[in-house]
Amino acid sequence: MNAVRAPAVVILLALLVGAVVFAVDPAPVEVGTRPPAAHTELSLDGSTGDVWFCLGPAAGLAGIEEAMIVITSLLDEPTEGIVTVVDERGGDVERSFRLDAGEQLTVRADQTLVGSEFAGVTVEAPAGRVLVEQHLRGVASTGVDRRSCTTATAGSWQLPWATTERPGTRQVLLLHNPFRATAVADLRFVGDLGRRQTLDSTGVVVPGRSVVVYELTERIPDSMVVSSSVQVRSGQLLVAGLQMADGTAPSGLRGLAVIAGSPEPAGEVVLPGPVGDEPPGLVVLLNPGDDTIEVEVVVLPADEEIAVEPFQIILRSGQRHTVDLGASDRMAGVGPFSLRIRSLDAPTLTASLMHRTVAGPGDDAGADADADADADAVAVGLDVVPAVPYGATTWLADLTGAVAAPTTLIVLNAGTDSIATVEMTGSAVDVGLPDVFELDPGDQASVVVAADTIVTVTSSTPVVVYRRRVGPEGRTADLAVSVEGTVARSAG
Amino acid sequence: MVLVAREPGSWFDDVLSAVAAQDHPHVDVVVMDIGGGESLEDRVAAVLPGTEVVRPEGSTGFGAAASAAAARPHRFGFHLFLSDDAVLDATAVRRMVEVAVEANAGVVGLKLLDGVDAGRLHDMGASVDRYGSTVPRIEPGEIDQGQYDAHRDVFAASSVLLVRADLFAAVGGFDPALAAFDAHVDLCWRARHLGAAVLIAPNAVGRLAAVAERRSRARRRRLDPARCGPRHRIRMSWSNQSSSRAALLTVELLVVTVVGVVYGLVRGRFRHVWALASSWPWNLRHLGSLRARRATLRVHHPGGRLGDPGGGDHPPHAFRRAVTGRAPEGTGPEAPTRARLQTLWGALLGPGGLALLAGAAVMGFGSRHLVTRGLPAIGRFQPLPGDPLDLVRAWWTSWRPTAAGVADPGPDALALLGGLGWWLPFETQVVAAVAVLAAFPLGAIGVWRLVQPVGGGRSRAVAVTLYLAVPTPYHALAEGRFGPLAVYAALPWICRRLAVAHGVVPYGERGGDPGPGTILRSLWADATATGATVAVAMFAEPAVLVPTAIMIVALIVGSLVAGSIAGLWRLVAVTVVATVIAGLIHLPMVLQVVEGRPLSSWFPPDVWPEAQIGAADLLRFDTGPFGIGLLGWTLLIAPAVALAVTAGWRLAITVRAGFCIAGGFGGVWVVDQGFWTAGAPVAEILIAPAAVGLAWAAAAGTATLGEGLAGRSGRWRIAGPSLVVVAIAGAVVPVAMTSMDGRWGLPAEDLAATLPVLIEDDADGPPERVLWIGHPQLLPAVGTMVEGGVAVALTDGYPDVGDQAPVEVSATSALAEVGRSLTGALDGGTSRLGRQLGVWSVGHIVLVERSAPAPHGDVEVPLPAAYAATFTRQLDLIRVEGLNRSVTIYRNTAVEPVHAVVRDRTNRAVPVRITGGSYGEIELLALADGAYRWRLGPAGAWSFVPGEGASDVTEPGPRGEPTVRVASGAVGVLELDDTVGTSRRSLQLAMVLVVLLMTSWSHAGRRTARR
Repeated sequence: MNAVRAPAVVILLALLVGAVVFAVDPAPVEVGTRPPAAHTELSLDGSTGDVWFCLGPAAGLAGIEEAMIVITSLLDEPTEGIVTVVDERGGDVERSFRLDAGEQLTVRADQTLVGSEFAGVTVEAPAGRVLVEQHLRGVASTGVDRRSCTTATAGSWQLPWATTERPGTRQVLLLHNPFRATAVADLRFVGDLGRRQTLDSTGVVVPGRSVVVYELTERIPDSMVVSSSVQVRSGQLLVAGLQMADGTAPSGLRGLAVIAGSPEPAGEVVLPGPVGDEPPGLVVLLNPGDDTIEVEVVVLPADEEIAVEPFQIILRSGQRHTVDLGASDRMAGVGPFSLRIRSLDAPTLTASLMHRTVAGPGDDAGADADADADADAVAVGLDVVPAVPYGATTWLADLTGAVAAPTTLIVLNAGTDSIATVEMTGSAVDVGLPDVFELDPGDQASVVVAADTIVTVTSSTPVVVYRRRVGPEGRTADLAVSVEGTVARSAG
Repeated sequence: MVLVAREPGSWFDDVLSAVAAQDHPHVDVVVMDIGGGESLEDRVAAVLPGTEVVRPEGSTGFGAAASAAAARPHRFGFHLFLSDDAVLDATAVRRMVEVAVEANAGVVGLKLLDGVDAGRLHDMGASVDRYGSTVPRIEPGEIDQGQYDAHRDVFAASSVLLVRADLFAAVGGFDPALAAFDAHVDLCWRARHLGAAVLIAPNAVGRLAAVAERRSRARRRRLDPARCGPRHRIRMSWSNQSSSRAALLTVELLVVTVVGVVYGLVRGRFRHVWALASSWPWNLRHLGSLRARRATLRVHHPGGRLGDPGGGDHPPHAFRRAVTGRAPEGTGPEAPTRARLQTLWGALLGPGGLALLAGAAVMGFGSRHLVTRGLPAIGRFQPLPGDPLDLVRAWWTSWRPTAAGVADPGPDALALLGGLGWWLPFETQVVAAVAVLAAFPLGAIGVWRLVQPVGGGRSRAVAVTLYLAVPTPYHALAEGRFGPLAVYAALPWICRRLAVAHGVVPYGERGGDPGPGTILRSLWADATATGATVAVAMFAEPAVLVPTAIMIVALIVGSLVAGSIAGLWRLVAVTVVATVIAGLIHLPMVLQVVEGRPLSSWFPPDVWPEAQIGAADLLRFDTGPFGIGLLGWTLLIAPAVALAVTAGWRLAITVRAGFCIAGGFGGVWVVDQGFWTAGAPVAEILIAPAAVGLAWAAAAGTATLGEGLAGRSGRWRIAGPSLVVVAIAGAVVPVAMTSMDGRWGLPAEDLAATLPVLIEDDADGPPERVLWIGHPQLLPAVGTMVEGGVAVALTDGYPDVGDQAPVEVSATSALAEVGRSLTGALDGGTSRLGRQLGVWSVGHIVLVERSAPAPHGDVEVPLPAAYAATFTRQLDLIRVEGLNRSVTIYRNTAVEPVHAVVRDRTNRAVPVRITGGSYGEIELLALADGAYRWRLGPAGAWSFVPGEGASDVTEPGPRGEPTVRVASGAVGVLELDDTVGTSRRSLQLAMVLVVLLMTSWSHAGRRTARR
């Protein structure tokens, strides 16, 4: 049998060459950027549900007069959900609820679990579009706190500022595990004397669906600033600090605040500056990472003509640093400003801003509450807001109650190179909201609203919206509610 | 001398001349002309003038004619009976008489040589086996070396007989009912009963006449041993055995007849069947003459009882000979076995056999831990179920519990594996390991058989070595894929069938002489064999059809490019018929396709990113985790050399093999480059034709090099073999190195050692279901893809090998719903995924990110971060802590039982107690009032048979599932409706039987003997 070689050689070589020549390149491996862990991400389009986590004291705790969770429906139709209340004693109650369109539901943990001092409340909204807030009022005008609950749980939490100053202050670290599985966490603290880590702060077991209370007042007593860092070995937690001060401390601090932790360190964060004539506040920086970082606190004045030399700080692993902006000579005559804080090394930076209002000259700090005659003259309280590494293009702020206590919305352009075109709309008409305005990178604007409304803030680039209210009962500040799908890491 | 002639041909003159030439002085010749044609008187008179020619009236046989002649008045003391085709030497009669006188023998035979080749024996006497079959002493074609001359005493002389006249009369002469060959034996047997000796006179020689003419059909039919053997066997046993022994043998012969009839029907030997079946009526018809012959013998025995005549050497294989009619020749038990052993040793000690042995040694060494300890449970290598027969039951009912119950049993081979696991006295994991590792020897032997006609031992050695060195099966092992191993084992056999179907030299007679080992058969026989081979491969891996199709196209294109269309039509015809046959055997699968099951659903889900492999890796067969590196290029050297050096039909083979290689590479390339986006087999299956082509081409090249490359430049004579040796050495190194660890790089530990403890509870009843999430190849069960290269599988407890077949998602609402729930949870749609999964009784969710517990195993594919984030945030899942990082387990706190009674008020699902049952029947006892519902798929497959306290009305539940109202304490049985499944299996079994019969019948004959 005869066979020919040449055609086969030619064809096989042609196939080989063709396979090489016409081969496509492998698809490049997409390196995705992990979305930032926002404190809140509200679902507005109805495609997904939300789970809200609230953590704080219950009315059964001494010093707390009222504590409640307010669930507000943004829907134009009825919605259902589940609310779960757990406390520090292992109490666990799960209830279903139904909200009609626009209706509000108030949940009082002390009524659900009688005798609770602390409560963790989980609100499941399968259809999304509900707002969940936590309202606190201390006894004897020791302050109020109102803040949105969070939709995030995380494996690490940082709370740069708290105080255990003696006498008259109390700081409680609250660890809430809303899930079924037990979580284990390591707690590290930084007091005035440096890092504090003890056996009982290592491997803290947080059973499923429970709240664990860690009393810092006793463990790190009389520290002007206590920073807490929580690393969760297994599971996820929600961590917050309850700060109570009755004004008897030497610093005169008086107020009530549930301090939200920051769920993740970052390389660059932003903070709002003061509004109006209020003092600039205290910036607390914390490096929970393992490496030393160089941090730069950049003051961004509204007046472009003014330049402020950045604060340069070296933070070793686990170190904390406090920048008292009010006491710095650099800040003299700066006027309105915002803050951008960045790590020049590893992205292991967290920060928070504490504002306090010291009792006025006529106020007898430390006296009986009934003697607080000048409370109307001088606002007493404190608020602590976390620095955030992200912004969002849509925010919601529930300003219900602003008629009695006007609320300031602070809009901060979190970007570094884009002008943000901001539009604010209210659920109620004629609430005096400004027209569309623009914000340069790093600029902030504040709007005082004195109407019961829910304000929607939309912008062309990510911004950060804070809500601050200063009233006769005290002061409170927190982040507004960012909307799911619009959150982005801030530039840099 | 009695010469019995029946219409002899021209050779008869030689016979007569030989008679005339006898030097014995006292010979009277009588010619018995028993033919019905022209009288022989003239021919006899011309050579033996005066010789009497007797023409009996009517039709008569040899025995009757010979006996009639012997009964005539005679002058001498001996009769010599001669047939018309035996040519005696001139001294034959004298020497036979001398032996008879000297040894006082009653019967004397002679040495009869072959008529064409006088150096070969034709007859040296015979014996009878237990059942009375005549067994010649010699092998057919045996050369006369005097090897039988020293042993003169035989049981029977079967050709030319010299019989003492008185003895002949005493035994009653020849049995007229028997044909010549058995009549001689019968006579000798009876002579021995009377104490006469039967001898062969080795110095008395005759030869078979050189018969040129074809004997008449009637004569052939009369003398056909296949037709007469069974009836003669019975008659001689009845006639010559004692009564008791004859009775015993009658029973045994009845059994032999039944078995023989079955054998004949299976093998398509209908004449044999008829011969066996008709033997009994024939003997019953001749009972009268039989009694007379027994009476004749009894006269000479004291008491009238026949004893054992002795002298028989009882040849072995009596049963086989009686059943098949084809037992080995010769009376020595060692001859056939020894011949086979010699052939086997000859083959094994040649280069090809040594390559097989070396390959077996390396394979055995490299597999030692796998064989002794079992395969690690990675990928599809999962343990057999606790009751291996469940695999058989799944196959029979076409239902298995995977994915909450699917009406799809998976590959048929699973049933076979289950049966073996149940039947063999070994641990089931050892059985499974051997089943998997059998791919290597099967593939190697298949290649050995494929290249057998191509060349000698060296070419087989090269082919086998290269095929064992191809990394494809080792990739499959490392990834825990069974399908590619099955294809690796089967494809050489399929390729050989296709080559034989092509019928081109050396696999056929088109273009030259067939090569060694080639058996030429009919197209029908090749088609049935090809169809059956493909069907057998499909039992293990249905996707074998894809590389088979590639190979067929490659053979056709390769033949055309090589410049020949010879045999292509035959190849196409065989392919078409074989496809139909394979389809008949796999009728249930065909019916599923006809009913709309997509072809892609037969392939397990896999992740194959575009250009993941690339041309360079492809050409090195580097498609998986087995590290071959740059040495993979050496695999292509041998076929390249073959393409350069071969010529003639070996070049044609090389070209066809080259296109097989191109086809295998091309199949992978097309899918890898994204030109084919529908379902496809894995790369190791698609590339299998290239592996076979590699070995095939290398064999052709080596054979050519071995023949010296006559007419070519001297460079090839040196460079060619050197290149091939270097190529083989380079290709073998990675395999040899990997064999050192005794487990081919598979991990020493697996997840199956610990996971079942974590995910299965001790409670009675069915195990909780487990949802497995991860890369499809890491999952211990086959499921379905969800998104982002992640697959999910749903099993009852820890999966077994029955969970490894692809599942058609549309056929299982459970898997589809679970997939949707998971996707929704990933999108943030729920914080209570456990409740959604719990509806389908998912008690645990296992995220798998590694093939084996760290640090074992080297395949790790982390899940997207969203999975951990999503599951961590579910409010009704509990993560099980303290586990190896290879898996993450979540326990579902919202799981519902598979069988439950849903209370009316609280809507709570109360478990139903399972009190017994079997694979398709579950006996239930309700523990609460309410609506009984079951979570077993597919829809409508299970029905409830109510017992006491249960309603007989089935109503749709809230989710549309069937429910039955029951009271607390009610009993009932949940039954699987397997009517369709069992019907199709019955049909399949019938089809298998039919195809086997067709294959057997078509192979009953061969056109050309093995060369």
